[in-house]
Amino acid sequence: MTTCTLRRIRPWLGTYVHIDVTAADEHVAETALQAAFEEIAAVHHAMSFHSQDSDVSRLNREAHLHSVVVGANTLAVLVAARRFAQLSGGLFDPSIAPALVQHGMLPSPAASDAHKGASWEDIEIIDDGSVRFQRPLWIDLGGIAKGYAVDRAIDALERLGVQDACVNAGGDLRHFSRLGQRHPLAVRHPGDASQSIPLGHIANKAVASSGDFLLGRRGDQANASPIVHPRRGVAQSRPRSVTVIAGTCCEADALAKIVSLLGRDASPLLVELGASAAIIEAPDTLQASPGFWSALGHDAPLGRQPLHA
Amino acid sequence: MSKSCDSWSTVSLVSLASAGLSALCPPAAEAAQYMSVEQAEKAAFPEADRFDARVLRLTPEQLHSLDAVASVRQRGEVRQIDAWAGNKLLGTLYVDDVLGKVEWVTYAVAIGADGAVRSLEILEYRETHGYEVRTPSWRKQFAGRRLDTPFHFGDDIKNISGATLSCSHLTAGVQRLLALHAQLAKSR
Repeated sequence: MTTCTLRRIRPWLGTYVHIDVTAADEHVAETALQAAFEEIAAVHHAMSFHSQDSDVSRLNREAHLHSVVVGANTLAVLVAARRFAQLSGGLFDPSIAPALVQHGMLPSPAASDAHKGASWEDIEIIDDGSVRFQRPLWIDLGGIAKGYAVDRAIDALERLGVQDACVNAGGDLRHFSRLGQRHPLAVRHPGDASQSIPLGHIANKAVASSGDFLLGRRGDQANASPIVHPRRGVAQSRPRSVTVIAGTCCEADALAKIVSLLGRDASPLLVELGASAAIIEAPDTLQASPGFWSALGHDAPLGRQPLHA
Repeated sequence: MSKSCDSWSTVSLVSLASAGLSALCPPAAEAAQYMSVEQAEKAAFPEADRFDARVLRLTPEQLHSLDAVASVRQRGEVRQIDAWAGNKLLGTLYVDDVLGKVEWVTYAVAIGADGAVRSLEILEYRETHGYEVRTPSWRKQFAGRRLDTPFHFGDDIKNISGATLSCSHLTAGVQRLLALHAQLAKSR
């Protein structure tokens, strides 16, 4: 059987989005690629913190004054963000944008100042699909919008009949294979980004990584970690990364942030969502949660089990 | 939250490297294609029956004037391809290189007759790593590989989680090409 494999990269979501597609013929592959990029572009336009006319910017400007109607994608990501905030006891919080703005990791929005004590709990989703903030907030959906965009792209590719696909938005990736093909997976070495560490294979799974490295930031704030604890604030970055394997990229993306902040204490949440994680610490350690190695196609965990419970 | 961390396992990265996992993780076996200039032409202007190509060599003054629009290192040699349907000019495709973090990124911007961007495609992408690894020893390993044996991003990037690279320089490149297009339109 002849197949056609196409590969495209386009700049979206503040990074390079790679899509690989294998389909029965070029027309199917090309049509599916276009549709997948359109899904990603739609999420980008709706949820950009940088663009004045995105849903997110309109919410940050107006939602504390009156309810704001947002698109279906934004609503879905807000609902997901609220769910992860609840599941993590508020550790995952889409309203930490003021800390990122203060540290130069996001531009200051032209909106009224965010209220000091405000949090995700001030986000009210009204039954008609509009959104209201109980206090002035700056939300940033960057924590899961990329993962969500990858999921939308994979859905489109699957719907349009491709055989295999992989969508990678700057490290948030998801693989789809109708025939259960496996996809090799590697992660960056957190201490030396020029090295990648092969881990095994995934099949029909999503992966996201969070780390402080490879961001290319310069200047005074270059050492600030972009992963912000809602109560402790911005911390120094350190050579550590977290990789999460989950069913959807949105879940993997959110969990990567939560595991970064909670470490092994995120175990119950990983189990609840059928996900697994690894914490890689320079110079030389990888700690894997139960199920991590089996998600990568290994029969038994690699390495040693801890001596104590 | 409870401390149910009993069955986490620990492994050293060195032992992972020697565990033969790299053999399990070969580069993608299928040779996937990059987008060629011809493919980009057809994708951007499917209704065209003729393409007229020329090479623009930007003068230092031109490059300098574009710096005022958006600052990014541009190679300075831009391919300008007009798309025609009969005697009607449909628009222009520009093929240009901007410096990413480390390597040149080759991209194609299609601008319609109305002056609006129709499409943006990346034709060649050699970027493998971020700014932090721009060290002499790291660069040395790639010496001489840049043009004759370009990196295949698929092998290097596609499988890798945790490779976020900013695309802001590309956005700057597009802004410069739009400005250049406007300058050239005046003198046509």
